[in-house]
Amino acid sequence: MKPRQSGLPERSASWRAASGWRLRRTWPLHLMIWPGLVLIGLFSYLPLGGIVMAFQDYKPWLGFAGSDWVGLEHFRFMFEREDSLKVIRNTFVISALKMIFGLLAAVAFALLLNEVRSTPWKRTIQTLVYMPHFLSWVILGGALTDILSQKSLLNRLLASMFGSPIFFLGENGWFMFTVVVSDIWKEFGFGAIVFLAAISGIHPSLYEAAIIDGANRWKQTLHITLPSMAPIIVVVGTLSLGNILNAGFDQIFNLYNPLVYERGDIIDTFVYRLAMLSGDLSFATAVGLFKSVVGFSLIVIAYRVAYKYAHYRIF
Amino acid sequence: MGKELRRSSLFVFAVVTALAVLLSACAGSGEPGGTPSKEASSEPSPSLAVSAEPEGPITITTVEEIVASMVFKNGETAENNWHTRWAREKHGIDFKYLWTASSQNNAYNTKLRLSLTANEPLPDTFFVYDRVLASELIDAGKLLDITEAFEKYASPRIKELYAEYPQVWYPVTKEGKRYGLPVLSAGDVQDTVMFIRQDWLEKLGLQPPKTIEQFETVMEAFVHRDPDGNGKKDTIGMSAGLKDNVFSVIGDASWLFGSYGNAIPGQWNKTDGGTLQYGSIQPNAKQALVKYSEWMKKGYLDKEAALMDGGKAAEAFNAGKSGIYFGAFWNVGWPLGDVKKNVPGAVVKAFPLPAGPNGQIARKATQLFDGILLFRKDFKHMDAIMKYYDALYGFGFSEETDELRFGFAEGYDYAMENGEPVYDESKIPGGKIEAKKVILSNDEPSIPFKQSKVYYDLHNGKAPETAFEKYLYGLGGEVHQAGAVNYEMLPYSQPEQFIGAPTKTMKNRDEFLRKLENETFTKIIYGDASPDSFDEFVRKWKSSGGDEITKEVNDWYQSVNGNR
Repeated sequence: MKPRQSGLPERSASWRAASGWRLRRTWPLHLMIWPGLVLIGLFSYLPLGGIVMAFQDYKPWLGFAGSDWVGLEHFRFMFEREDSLKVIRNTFVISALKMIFGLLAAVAFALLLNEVRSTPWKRTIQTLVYMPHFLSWVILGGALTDILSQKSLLNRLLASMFGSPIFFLGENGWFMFTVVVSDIWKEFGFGAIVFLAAISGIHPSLYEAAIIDGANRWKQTLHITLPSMAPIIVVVGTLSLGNILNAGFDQIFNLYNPLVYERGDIIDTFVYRLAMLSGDLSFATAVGLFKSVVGFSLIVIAYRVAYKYAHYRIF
Repeated sequence: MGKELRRSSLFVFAVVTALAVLLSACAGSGEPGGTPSKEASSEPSPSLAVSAEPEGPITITTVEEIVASMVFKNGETAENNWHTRWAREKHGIDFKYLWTASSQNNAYNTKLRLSLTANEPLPDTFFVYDRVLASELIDAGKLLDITEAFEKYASPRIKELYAEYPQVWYPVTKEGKRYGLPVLSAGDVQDTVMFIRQDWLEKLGLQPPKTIEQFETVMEAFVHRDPDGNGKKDTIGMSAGLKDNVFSVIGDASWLFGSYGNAIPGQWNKTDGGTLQYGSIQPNAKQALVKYSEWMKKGYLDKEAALMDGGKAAEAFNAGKSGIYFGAFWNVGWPLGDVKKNVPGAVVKAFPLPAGPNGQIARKATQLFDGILLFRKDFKHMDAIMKYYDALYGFGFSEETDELRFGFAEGYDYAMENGEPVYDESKIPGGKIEAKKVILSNDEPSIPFKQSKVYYDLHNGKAPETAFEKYLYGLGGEVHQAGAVNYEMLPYSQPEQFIGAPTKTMKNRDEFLRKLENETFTKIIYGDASPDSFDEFVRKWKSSGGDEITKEVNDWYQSVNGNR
């Protein structure tokens, strides 16, 4: 105990000196991190206090202090409602499909784009596939409703090929298909950025060695590019697992209708209707909290799995 | 190795940056899109000296819902326009807008709810259409009891008018006290009439349908006999919006329910036994749904109807591909006015609703009040507000002493010519706009059913005499014709009987029951569910809280009828 006590001031003095020197050099970086930290605190941590609503019969005018406590009443009601489980299942399925196929599409696109030789051509393609990412679902929702309408060009074509038009947004199975495909179409270009960065970071000497060994482009992709990308694929996949219960409110809200409630209603649209249309804030919070807890558990599991099988640590 | 480490940390950096971009994008989109309230230019007005307020104008804070029909001219805004100037100069009231929000996607109500949740201070006065919100605020004890203030400050003519319709006070009454001012509506401006493309009827040599069978014949012809003459089978019978629910002011589908019985879906109707019952679970709802599903199968309805709200249904009609449409009589001007721009020679005419078996007709009636003007608990200026309110009624009463007897603002909704008001679009410099949309209640406070009869008279050739009649005359013959049909249909209107605050069970089960109803109805119409699933729906509706709600609603009904 004693030597440590005597050693402590000395160490911290030298540390202070070192850090003082470092601060002088790095203060702009410290300054730059503040707006981000403040925003995260403001929008991500501060609102956490509102969770108490889930355990109260919350009345806005009475506030948190004045509202009655009801314990787990809202959670009980949630599992009593027959459509709750359906909604959770929909969220899970839609989101999982989006995640898996979105990841595959982004990786495949990055690999293919990597094979394009002409730089201007490559840039053009890349810009074109980014574009949809920057359009909001309000606009795309309107456009999709028209493009997929039963009198649209597309459906007339389908009708001439298969005999009848497809009611993309009105049949449960097709609705899910439409939601997943349109989301992937919108996001895969943006998602590929990270993978393109990973590919450009692979050392050329690896390819040179492979060429000498007689590997063609396909073999190079299979044995060099893909293995080098593996860690980043795992990282992206793991991180997106935390969003597994975010099936995309903007998209579903702009596309769904009573015909496809059965397969298209997700937790977020459900919470929206509860809180904003029916004013049942407490119940809506309970559902939202449930969603967060499940999402959190999943990211912990995914993280463990990623560490175990890919030896990759994010944190 | 070191190099690779650096590279892999570069990847992580790339990921983190991408995530940060995404996060900040999410944070940005989460913020409510409120417009920063612009301070009205507060130049001291010269006429202040005339005002009775010696210490200058009183400031009253409020918020405003921007509705689609709110149009501005002369570079005015929601916060600074003829109304704010008029209120300041004539009534010594300086309205200060804390915020404004659009009515689209319920943004105004959402923002109001959110500001409540955040415990922001209430504005001094504000106008809501949402009875649920009003009742929440009343329960919270946040609102002013205006019972005495109304007796003391309301003008005799307003008191007399409100005494005629005591039921309008129900939603704001708690323990005998009145916590808000319901703004009276015109009484029948939301009742449904039928609109048909008259040019299609004439082209195909058809008579306007009087019964459901004739209605089907007309739709059959509209679908199969190429009414738009483009050689393609691309027309449909009728347009309706089914996305949100079957009843709507625009693109209504609830009228057919009335052809099979008096129970109107989505509202509480009085039965022969004197009790109130929910309309969507009655047998006539099943008959109507079965009829709709037949029509859907035959191609009379738009295949996309479930994806459309009323506005979209109107757009489809305006595109010239649909022959029949249901909505309030004024729909002929907006939104249906556009059909003439898209299809040269299109003629839209209003007709009475077709009768079901045994001549049965019923349609949903308009609430006797449009919305409710609410006041913050410690609001002090009820005297000024009631004076202001009486002045706004000037147009409705149009007595000689009323400043607003000609209209709301000269140069906006009327112009003066030789001492007489004129309402022609062409006579008003810079165009005619609906000036009244910017007042506190978003629409004029009305004398119920007064204008309905005027439309009928004007349509039947009566010359307009009073300013009120001249104003309505200025709306044009199409509106008169539709308004006259609306007047003739008045006996068939079935009012919502439950206008109290939402009951306890209603609040908890509202979302579930609504979803159940919408899903069942649309599925039956589309043939995705058999008509018999309706019986299953009724059973489930009752067992999932519906029975309790019915009991609570009837308890309320007993209590208000006992009081009378």
